[in-house]
Amino acid sequence: MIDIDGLTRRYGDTTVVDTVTLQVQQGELLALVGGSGAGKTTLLKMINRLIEPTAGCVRLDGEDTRSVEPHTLRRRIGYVFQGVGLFPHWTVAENVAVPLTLEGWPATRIRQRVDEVLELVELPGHIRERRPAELSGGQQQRVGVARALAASPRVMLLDEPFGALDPVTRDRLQQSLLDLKQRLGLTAILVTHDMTEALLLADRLGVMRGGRLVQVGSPADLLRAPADVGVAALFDTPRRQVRVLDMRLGGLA
Amino acid sequence: MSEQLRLLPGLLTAHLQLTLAALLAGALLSIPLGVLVRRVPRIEGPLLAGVGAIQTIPALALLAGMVPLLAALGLPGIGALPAFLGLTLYSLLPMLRNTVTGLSGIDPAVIEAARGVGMTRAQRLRRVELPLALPTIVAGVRTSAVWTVGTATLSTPVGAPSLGNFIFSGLQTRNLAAVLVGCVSAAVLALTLDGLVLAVSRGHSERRPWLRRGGLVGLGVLAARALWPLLASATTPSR
Repeated sequence: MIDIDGLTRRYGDTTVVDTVTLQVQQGELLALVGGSGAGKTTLLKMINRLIEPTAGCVRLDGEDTRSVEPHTLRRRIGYVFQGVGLFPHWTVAENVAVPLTLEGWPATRIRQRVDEVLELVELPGHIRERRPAELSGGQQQRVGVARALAASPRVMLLDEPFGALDPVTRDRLQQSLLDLKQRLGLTAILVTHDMTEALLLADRLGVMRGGRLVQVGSPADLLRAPADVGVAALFDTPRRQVRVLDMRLGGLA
Repeated sequence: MSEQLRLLPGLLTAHLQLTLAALLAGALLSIPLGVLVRRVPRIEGPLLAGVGAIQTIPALALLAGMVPLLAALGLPGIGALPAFLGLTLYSLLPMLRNTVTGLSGIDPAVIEAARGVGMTRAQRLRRVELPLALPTIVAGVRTSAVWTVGTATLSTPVGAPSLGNFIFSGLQTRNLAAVLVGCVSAAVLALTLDGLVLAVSRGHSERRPWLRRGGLVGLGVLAARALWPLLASATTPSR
């Protein structure tokens, strides 16, 4: 489905993403994890050409992304931005409808589709006419997800979508995303620095460090045979959390 | 006093014609230039410096300077043309500067989102960047409008009739009522124009259709007032 081949991005002498090769299957959610500056977001943005690769290529369903106009390519890919990225001068309904208005859908079909996706992300219909600034952070991010889903893209890219939310809201949105993935069979790449989130949501994890893809595999693969101590260390925090929770709740949970 | 009031409609129309024509030309020049500056950042410094330099010339000197300049070019050096050109140049800076400021003040995350959802460059400009910069651009238009209405009183000495006629002739003949009529009517016109532009922009951004419509109707009335004599003289056969 997504076929990344030797993708590289250099800025002057610095290589931010270094010959990454990676495949994501249909219906699979892959999480890119790693510290800040590991190149996760740059890699993600090269998939829909928000950043142009210095070398290498990306194929979606076998089609080289360089053969399509960037704006056409981006309309086919749902993108959820870090820090939401809603248009402040438009209502919720107008924000969600952007991918459809750009494609020239008729107004009645747009209305219908906006209602559908708002329901899909569990937002009440009465917020349609509100402006983003009048919504809570969690609601804003749901609108962001609804906008990304509106044109029924085959591929979704999510750049730390839940990073700025409080833990309860984050948990609810993570559950919603899992639910959507199952119902719609989404193929998605999720960038996160939160290992626990990656373990909760992803089918496979891609660990990045210094622009390189260090290891790719299911959580069990990474746990069983980590490529190096760095990968093994990623499990320390979630493990400790489990241990502490288990101890504190002592069988109550 | 009644003599002054008899002259008022004609001079008000002349003043309005000059002001609106100069503002329109100024806006059509400065707003696209402001957009261009965003695309070609290296022209920003020289362009703003150049337009800023125009502003340092005293308004009366700028208008008066147009007279020998136009005469040297073989154009009519006295009348509406030097006033129009001077006022247009004078109106550029606030609108240009505010367009540049408004566009560069947009959150980069919003621009990236516009790219990310698949807008072309033209769609991004029209649907996102200009609407978000609009309040700042309109503030520039309002500043220019007030300046131009005021400065247009100085077109009387270069041969274009305006509300300045009251002021200049009143000062020469010690007719203080005339001076007062000129000053007050110019001030009222400036405030009216400013208020109408504000109403249109508020009505638009706060989605209050009546406010917007009211402002547009008001501006329409002023424009009609300015255009009517021109249309009338064009359609009636000259005697």
